[in-house]
Amino acid sequence: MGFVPTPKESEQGRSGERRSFKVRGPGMLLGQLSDPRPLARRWAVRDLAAFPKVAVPLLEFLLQESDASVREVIFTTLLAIGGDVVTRGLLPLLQSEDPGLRQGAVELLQQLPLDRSFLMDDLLREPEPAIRLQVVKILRDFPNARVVEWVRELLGRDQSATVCAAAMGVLAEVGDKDDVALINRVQARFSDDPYLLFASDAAIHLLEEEDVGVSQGAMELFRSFFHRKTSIVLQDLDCHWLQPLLQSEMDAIGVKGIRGFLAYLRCDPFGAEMVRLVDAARVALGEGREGLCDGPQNLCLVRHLLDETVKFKKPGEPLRLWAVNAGANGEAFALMLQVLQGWSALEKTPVSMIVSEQVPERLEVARSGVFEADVLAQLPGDILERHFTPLPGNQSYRIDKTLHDAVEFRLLDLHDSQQTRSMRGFDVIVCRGVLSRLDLVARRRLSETFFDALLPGGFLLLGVGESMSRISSLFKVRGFPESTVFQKPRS
Amino acid sequence: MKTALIVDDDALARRYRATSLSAAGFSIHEAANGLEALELASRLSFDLVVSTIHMPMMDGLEMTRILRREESTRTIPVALVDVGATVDLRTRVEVLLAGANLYLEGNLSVEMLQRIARLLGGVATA
Repeated sequence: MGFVPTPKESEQGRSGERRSFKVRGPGMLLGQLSDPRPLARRWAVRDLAAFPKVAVPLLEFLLQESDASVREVIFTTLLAIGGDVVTRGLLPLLQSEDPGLRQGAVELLQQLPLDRSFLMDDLLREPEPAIRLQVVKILRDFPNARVVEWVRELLGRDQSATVCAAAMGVLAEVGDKDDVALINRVQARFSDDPYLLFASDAAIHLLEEEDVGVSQGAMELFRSFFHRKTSIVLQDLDCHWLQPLLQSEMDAIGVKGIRGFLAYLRCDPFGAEMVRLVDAARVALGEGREGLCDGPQNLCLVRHLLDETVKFKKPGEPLRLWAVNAGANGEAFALMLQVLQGWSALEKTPVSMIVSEQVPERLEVARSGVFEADVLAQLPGDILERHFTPLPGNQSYRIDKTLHDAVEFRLLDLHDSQQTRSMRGFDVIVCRGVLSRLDLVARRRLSETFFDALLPGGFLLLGVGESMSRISSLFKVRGFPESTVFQKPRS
Repeated sequence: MKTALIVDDDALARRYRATSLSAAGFSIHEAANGLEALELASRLSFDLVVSTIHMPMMDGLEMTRILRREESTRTIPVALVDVGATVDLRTRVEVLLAGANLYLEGNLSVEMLQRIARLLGGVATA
């Protein structure tokens, strides 16, 4: 047994594999929403993103749909469609008794990139405090210059201490020193509410600090923003490493203080600046270079995940792995070597692996099987000797042909649903350092792709600092001594 | 030292409860939604979870249900806080059905939070 080449299409007998998919019209796709299979409904909803006029029937369908996985895809499609119709259609959901619909609406309204000032004035005057509280949460990351004005007006009149306390957090990010007087008036209005007093003192503390450079207060605001956007929790030491980069990013776009920088990031939260900061944070958190080294997740794979997976297989049925964008940096081979070295059941279990790359040049590097010596530096000597051949000059090595030939390399555009829907039936997907570089719609789409590509009980391994906790609630969190991984529920 | 997990999507609210419970003798971890909390709970052990109910991605009710299902977390005391400014019978019932130990309404004082945390988390009162 051991590593075996991925079966060819004809042998696999999977009718969906790599065939071209006929593009269907909106009428047929809407009809497919009544299909009893959630997978069919999910894909119909994904395809409907190409037809913005279906926003209204899709919003109606959202209210009837009870399957969480389909609901998530509907929210992503609505986010991709955007526009006034979607915005107005989502507003009633803020009052829904269904927490999934309510929170989904809040998340989408935070992200929809259009000017909704005409709605915000009304929403902030909603009689129900619980709705105003949700609207304040929307304002927190709302890319609009009027946010500070709305927050000030709200704080001047709102009779709910809870709503005002939440607004204090927003004001601390978007306000200035002159707002301290307003905060003092709010404190006097709610002098018996301990949390409001705490929140307003914290806001005063941050607002009174001069907004120049990356001060301690600035870093506090950035940490909170960064956590909201990426789910990466920065500790003091990480901040120490990030501080110079933050300063240089601020200098590059010409802002003096953190509030200006956060306003800039709010307008383009997945732009180049944010990607650089996320990359730097991941390095600070220990991701480092992804070479052929033994990562804790690979150990987790051979010590726990493969054994658990194989229990549900019939004898001789192969385990299927998909390593995403993991060929050119040698990550996929690191995984193979770890399995070869550390998983004793490999002798009686066939394992196949697909390595996808998004860019043809990277695919060619992956296919060549040649790695620079420094990429292999952390590899034990015996492994290097057994599985690699030095090329002339000893500056690079070629991986063993048997291992190389057991991998199927595939050019795959992760953002092309016609291509990704052929990826099915995997037991493990490894995708490191990809999600954190994508915008919200692409992240959600990719998590949906992984959900459909995994078999029930299949595992998803993400990179350091990456998490499903800001993207999708469909995966189960599994904690192991070596690492935390995500699992598609078995039922 | 006992360890508490504070869960809230509002950073200031987290800090308020973290400061209060820290002064009551707890070591603190924070999460911004139910999923982040479950990630932490999968690799760390906690003596107490104090969570708000309404959060993105996964709310406090669902988080509590999952904590109660998992062998390693089913006995952790969970206090769910509703600061939604609306007293809601349905939410109270859902909190009990989810398996939370306590339902707290509104913004509690530091002293009250500390008393509750000590009782639930098993910290001896001074």
